[in-house]
Amino acid sequence: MDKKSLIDELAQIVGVENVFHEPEDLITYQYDAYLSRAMPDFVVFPTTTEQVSKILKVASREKVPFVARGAGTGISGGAIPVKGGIVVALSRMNKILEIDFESRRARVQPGVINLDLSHAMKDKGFHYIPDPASQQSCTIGGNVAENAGGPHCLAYGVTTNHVLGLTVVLPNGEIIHTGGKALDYPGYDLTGLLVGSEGTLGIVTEIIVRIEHRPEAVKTLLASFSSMLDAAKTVSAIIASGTIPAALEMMDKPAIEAVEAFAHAGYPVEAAAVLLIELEGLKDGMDRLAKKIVEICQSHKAIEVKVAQNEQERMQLWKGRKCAAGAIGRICNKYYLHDCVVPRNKLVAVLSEIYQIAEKYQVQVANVFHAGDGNLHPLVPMDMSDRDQVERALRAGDEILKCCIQAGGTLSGEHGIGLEKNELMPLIFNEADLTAMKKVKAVFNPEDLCNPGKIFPTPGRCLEVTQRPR
Amino acid sequence: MIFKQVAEIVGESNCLTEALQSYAVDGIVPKLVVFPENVEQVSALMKLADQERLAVVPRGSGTKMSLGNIPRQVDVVLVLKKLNKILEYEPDDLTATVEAGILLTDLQRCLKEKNQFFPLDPPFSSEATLGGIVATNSNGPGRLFHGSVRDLVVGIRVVHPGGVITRAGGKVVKNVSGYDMNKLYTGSLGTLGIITELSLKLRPLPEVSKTLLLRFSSLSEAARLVLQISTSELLATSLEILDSGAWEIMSRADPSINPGQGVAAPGVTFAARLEGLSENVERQIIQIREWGQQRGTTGAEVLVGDLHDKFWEKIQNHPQTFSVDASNTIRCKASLPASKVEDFFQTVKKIGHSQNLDPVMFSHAGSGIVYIYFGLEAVPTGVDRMSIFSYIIREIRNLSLQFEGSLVIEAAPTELKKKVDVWGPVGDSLKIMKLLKEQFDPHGILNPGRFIEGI
Repeated sequence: MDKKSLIDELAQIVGVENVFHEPEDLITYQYDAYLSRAMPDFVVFPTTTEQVSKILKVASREKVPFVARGAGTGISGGAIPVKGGIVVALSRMNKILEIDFESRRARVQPGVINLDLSHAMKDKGFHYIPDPASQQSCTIGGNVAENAGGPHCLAYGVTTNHVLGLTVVLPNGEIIHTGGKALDYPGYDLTGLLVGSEGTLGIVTEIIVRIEHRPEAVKTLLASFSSMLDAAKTVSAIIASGTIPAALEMMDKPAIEAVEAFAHAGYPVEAAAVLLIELEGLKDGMDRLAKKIVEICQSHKAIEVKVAQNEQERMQLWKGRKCAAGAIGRICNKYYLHDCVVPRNKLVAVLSEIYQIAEKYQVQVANVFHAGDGNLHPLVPMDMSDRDQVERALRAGDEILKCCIQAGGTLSGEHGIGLEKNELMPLIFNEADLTAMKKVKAVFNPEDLCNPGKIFPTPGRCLEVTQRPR
Repeated sequence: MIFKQVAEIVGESNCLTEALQSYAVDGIVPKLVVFPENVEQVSALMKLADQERLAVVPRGSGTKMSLGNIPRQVDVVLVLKKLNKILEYEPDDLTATVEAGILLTDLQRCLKEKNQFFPLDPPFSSEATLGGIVATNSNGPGRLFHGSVRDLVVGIRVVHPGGVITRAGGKVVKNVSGYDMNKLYTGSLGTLGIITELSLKLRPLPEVSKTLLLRFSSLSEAARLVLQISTSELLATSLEILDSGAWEIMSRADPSINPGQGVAAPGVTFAARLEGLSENVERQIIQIREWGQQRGTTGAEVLVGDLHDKFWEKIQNHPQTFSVDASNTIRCKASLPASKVEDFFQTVKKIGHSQNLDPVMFSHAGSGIVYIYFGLEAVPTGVDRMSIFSYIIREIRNLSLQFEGSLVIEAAPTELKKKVDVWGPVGDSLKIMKLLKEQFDPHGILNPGRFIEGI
């Protein structure tokens, strides 16, 4: 089928105004927040499950690859159409379809912005818990694809723990329903399998999520340390003490300096590291718990522990954490943001090694991360005009990843594999492990038209860092 | 001869060939029962079984063998109980990696030394193995607060038909590397592979645990109270409702759980498990009691210490608590949106009464899970019992589906399984499930016929 006929057929499904095909209209759809890009041939904007189904039927008949896209905030390249074809933009499927407070469930379309869902329930005191840093712009559909995390996932779990049912359009256009408002439906847990599948098994068009009452009380503390290792030891000590805070975030000196220069969050610039600790729950006993945390910090040589006295002070403390990546972006022309995870009792050892690696390759490294669940985000600034420096930054990044894996960790905690780390998958999975995953893919997406080129290593490619696409 | 080949793999002392009646599944007696000692032996057995097309039934302690439809074939029962080691326990990381055959109770005992626990409280607390719990997605009342199997397993090792061994997930608590295969194997009833190893998320033990029991004359007030709590800022670990039959069985078996006879009057019993800091446990007890009084509660008890433990052990082990005679009991589990529990309870009672039956019912009401127990003996002999029960189950199942939930028969006599599908309909995702089964078990050797729709 020629391009013109394909455009006509897509226009018949969604309306001519909802099909983009001119190069100038397609430009913004060639990338997400990852470093790579690829041009799609078409972008379509469906508004219903049936339209998505019809689009995929056409695509599979014509063997045209396609990729679902939410807000394009993903950082592992999940929404980049590496093989061209159709970008199915779900931004107009942005309705909250049902909120059932008594059963604590909401049913939403994939294009609903994460934070909008919580805002819609604010009057009733409810919220949707997973809170990725991009929650003001990222969509629930994208969160489902990537199994997104966020600071408050430490106590409450990541996206998959909050998603109970899906409507999915399979790559051949068939519509299926998995899970639902209740728990434990008979059969395989396809919902659990689909969450985090990075859009490679189908396109999700409806999502049933858990919603919860907001906590009665919140207490936010900022502890600063003169050594990064003291801060890391404090994290391990808090976890080992039997307290699981709602959030437990860490930032090191380069990150603190960048943040203070940008956001003036009130972080002590003389500190080598800060911990942002948030406790949530009932007000009763909260002060005693906070005191216990303060004591743990002090016994690990904290130089100062600030406790937010009101909501304004609390927001101020969080402001620093939330704008950290942006603040670092201001001081360098590009950075490589990693997303590895290590066991929490290895934090101290791994962080020391990360600094040694940075020194070895003579690159800077800033650490801003979800310390409570061991999810590191080392940021390695890069000057794209300095080829040699970029090279060193990438090599350092690879060594950091390998060090995390050696410590019993994994490649990605919340950003996904996508295009970024697919060639690194053999570092943690052997051929048999990957074959089992490929069997799943073969069932849902046998022709590999649905988001091709993601997650799995490309056959015949070696692991050499410089050959990674970027 | 198969026996010889199997014996070469696991040693003769790890094979049983006689007196296998107790390993029968729905009356079908296996030819062989094997007790592999390590994952390599499991792999060799699965290779052999696939070559010889032997139907394999994986088994832990056998506490949930009543689950599932009647198998098409049973050749080898593969017992995982000798894979029972804790491979890694990292208290400072709140994670552990264990072999699948370990008893939950043995794991909990070890974790308790470090003031931690695996926050899952499924039935058969003293016998169930971790592998069996995960394979059957077996959960308990604590899921309201702590989540269920799917939320707590972070890594898995599986032996597939043909003998291939794979891993998925990892040992860290947050992981999006590759497909989340943990979810696929959880609740798959051993139809895709044999789980040999699991990595788990742990929790610190709470500072204080207490139980508040309230008695209501009507189900409605108890059910509304559960919803009032679950949609509030309160943080109960479990919210249960027991009908008068369930309470009678429990308190008769152990009168000590009702020390002050505070919940003696007939009616519906509400139970909340409250855990955490002592201050917030006390506050929740006061607040829930007050809400209960506003709803006209007729009695109250607070259980602490041993009594608290005993009460929840009875709830957790409900199949043992409520099946006076296991072989003569039908146990059904409905999963519903939490708001439908009240309607469901009332309607199921009516359906029962229409056949002169009064099922025992109780509910993890905060999570929308309702258990229904029928004693076969309640129907007089001479009447076609199976027709009556299959009628009742169809009615209850239709009701569950109408409420956007499901109904699974967890235990029933084989005669009844001949008349009713224990799982019920799966919907439009069935085709994908069948294709997954074909990919992972092309010759259909694992638990053939026991899972949904003939899988």
